[in-house]
Amino acid sequence: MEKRVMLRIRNLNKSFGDLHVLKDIDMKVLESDVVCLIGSSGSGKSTLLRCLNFLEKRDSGQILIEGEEVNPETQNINKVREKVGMVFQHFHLFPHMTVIDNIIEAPVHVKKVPKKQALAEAKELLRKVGLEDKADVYPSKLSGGQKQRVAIARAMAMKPDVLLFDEPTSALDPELVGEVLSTMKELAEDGMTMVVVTHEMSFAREVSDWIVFMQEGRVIESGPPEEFFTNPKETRTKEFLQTTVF
Amino acid sequence: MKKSLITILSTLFILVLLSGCAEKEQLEDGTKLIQKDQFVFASSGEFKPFSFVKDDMEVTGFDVEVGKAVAEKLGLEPVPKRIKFKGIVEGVKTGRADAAVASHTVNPQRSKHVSFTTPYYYSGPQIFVRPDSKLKNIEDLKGKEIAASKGSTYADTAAEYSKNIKTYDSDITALKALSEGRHDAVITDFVTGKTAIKAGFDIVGRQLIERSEQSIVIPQDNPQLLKRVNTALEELRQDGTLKKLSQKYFGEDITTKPE
Amino acid sequence: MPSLSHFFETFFGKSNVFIDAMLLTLELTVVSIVVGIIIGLFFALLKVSNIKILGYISDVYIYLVRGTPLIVQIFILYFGISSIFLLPDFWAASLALALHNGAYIAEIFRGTIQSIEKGQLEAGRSLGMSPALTLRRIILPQAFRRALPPLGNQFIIGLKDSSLAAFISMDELFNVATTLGSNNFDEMTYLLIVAVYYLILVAILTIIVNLIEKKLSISDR
Repeated sequence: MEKRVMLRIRNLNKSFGDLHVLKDIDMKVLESDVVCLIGSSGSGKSTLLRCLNFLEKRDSGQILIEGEEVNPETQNINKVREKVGMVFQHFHLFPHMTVIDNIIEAPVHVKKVPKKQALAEAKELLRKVGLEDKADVYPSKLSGGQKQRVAIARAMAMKPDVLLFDEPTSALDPELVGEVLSTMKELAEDGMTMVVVTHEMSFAREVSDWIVFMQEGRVIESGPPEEFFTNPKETRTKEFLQTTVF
Repeated sequence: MKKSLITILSTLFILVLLSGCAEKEQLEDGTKLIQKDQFVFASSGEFKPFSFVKDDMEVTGFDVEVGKAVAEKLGLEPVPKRIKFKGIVEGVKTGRADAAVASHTVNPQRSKHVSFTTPYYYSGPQIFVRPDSKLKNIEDLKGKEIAASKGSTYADTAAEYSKNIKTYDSDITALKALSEGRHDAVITDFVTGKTAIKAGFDIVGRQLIERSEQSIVIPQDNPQLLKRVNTALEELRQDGTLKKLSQKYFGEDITTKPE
Repeated sequence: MPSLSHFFETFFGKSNVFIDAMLLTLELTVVSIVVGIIIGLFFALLKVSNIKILGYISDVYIYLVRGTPLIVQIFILYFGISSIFLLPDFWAASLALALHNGAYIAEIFRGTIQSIEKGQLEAGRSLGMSPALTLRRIILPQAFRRALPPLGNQFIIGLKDSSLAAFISMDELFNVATTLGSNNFDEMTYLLIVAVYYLILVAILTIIVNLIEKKLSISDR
């Protein structure tokens, strides 16, 4: 069976002043695929991800979600964001709310889910990320890894079609990276469509269905992980892979 | 955000509406009053014995009792209101009080802004000396040592008659010094001098140098109230109420025009 | 300086007058703080909005209030505005105090709203929350919490500033002290008595602010 195209990007361009950070980006993300965006810092991968959630405004080009073009000027962008969730490098949990309140905040106030139902769903999500016992704790009491797992649960609570991860493990102490990655792996196994900006090459290789390598604002090479890591076509990809620690 | 904006704006609007309740009411004869059955009159509460507060912060004094008597003649409930003296004329102009019974001396500057009733008492600078003094009038003042309070109009008055002027911080201190044998004369307010004599100072009053008239202040846009207060004052003069009040506070009548 | 026995005699002998005055001081303070918070929040939001003209309006307001003495503002509301409409004495004083407090509170809120990391806004927005909802649910609660210590300070200033209402003859603590003091030729005793009242009020206010702060900072524990 042919997979549906969840995200389609055509000719996307973005500049910050004189700095042209995204140049004619074309890519697509298929349903329940995990796509990893890799590349050295400053290659534009985080900006690309932020454009997909419209936290950054694109200068030109098209973004199609489930076949429909999204134009933040004419459409209710909040509705679009309900479909596209985001997990940040620095978690950005709401510090004035308990873990469970963080998770039910958007379902209750945006989707108007009854609180009782939202709480039940939130507890289920917490169980999934292994933090059921932390429901009534404030974020300041959590480790970085726990915070990020709550952030994932929070994004999942909106039942998005696509989940974007912006370097989800970069701010973590090395010993906490594993728990977040394994949570993400479970999500992938459940069939979640994910776009992940990451420096974790082993995760990319093991979990992803598709790798996109970026440099200086362009997509240099993309392909299935086996082929990408063992037999890269572009010399710049080879150079990058040689300098990267696995 | 829109919701909260509307809330804030409407709160302010309500405040404005609330404040609108303070507009003056107009009686059938054209008299304008803050409350149609009240006579709100201002005094400072800081000018003993004309107006001062008792320990329960209730204001009283000669001015206040005159104001109450006027209100009674008008058939209105008297409502004394304290406003700092400097702000009283402005307060009457802007409708904070219906009138002011606050020892305002009639003068041309004030007359530009407010109306004055007929005087309800008379005052002015007077020469005070020790009882054994031969000094009688302004001609006798030449070359004499005169004391007055610093910065007052009386110090200026004294300077017109003599070069030898001593000044004190208050009129009372000047009079005290006089009674203890210093200086030849003191020029101060007629009523102040009377009060001091009553308090046992060993002095007597001689010539009254000038005359000043103290009147009730009424807003200029309220001629009907001016007319009615003047009528009330006339009745109070005729029935002896003003005289009685003056006797009570000063031991003599300061409410009839001196010769 | 009055003798201690004279001080206490006056303090307790006149307590009914002073308690009335204290209640008026409290009313002036509470009304001016509550209205001041609303005004302050309003102008802070204008300031942090991305609409230039609104920010400019807010700047003008803050400049006008911070650039003129409070006593001038009180007189303007007491006398000046009355040519348009007559504010009752209490509201002239409260509103002047509220407008005055509001400018400082606006600056406090502006500062704390802007101190909330951009990531909080992005997190809210990425969850599909509208800008207004994000502001109300995510940004403002955090900004309020951070604003509490400087707000508490402003409340105390507001309490003491209410003494300026004496100049439009409101019988609050300071006015009662000076008027009774001068009438009794005993100003120092009366000023010392109101000093005690102000100290008590400030202590109570401080305790209340601390309690709220403690309650709100529960998430830091």
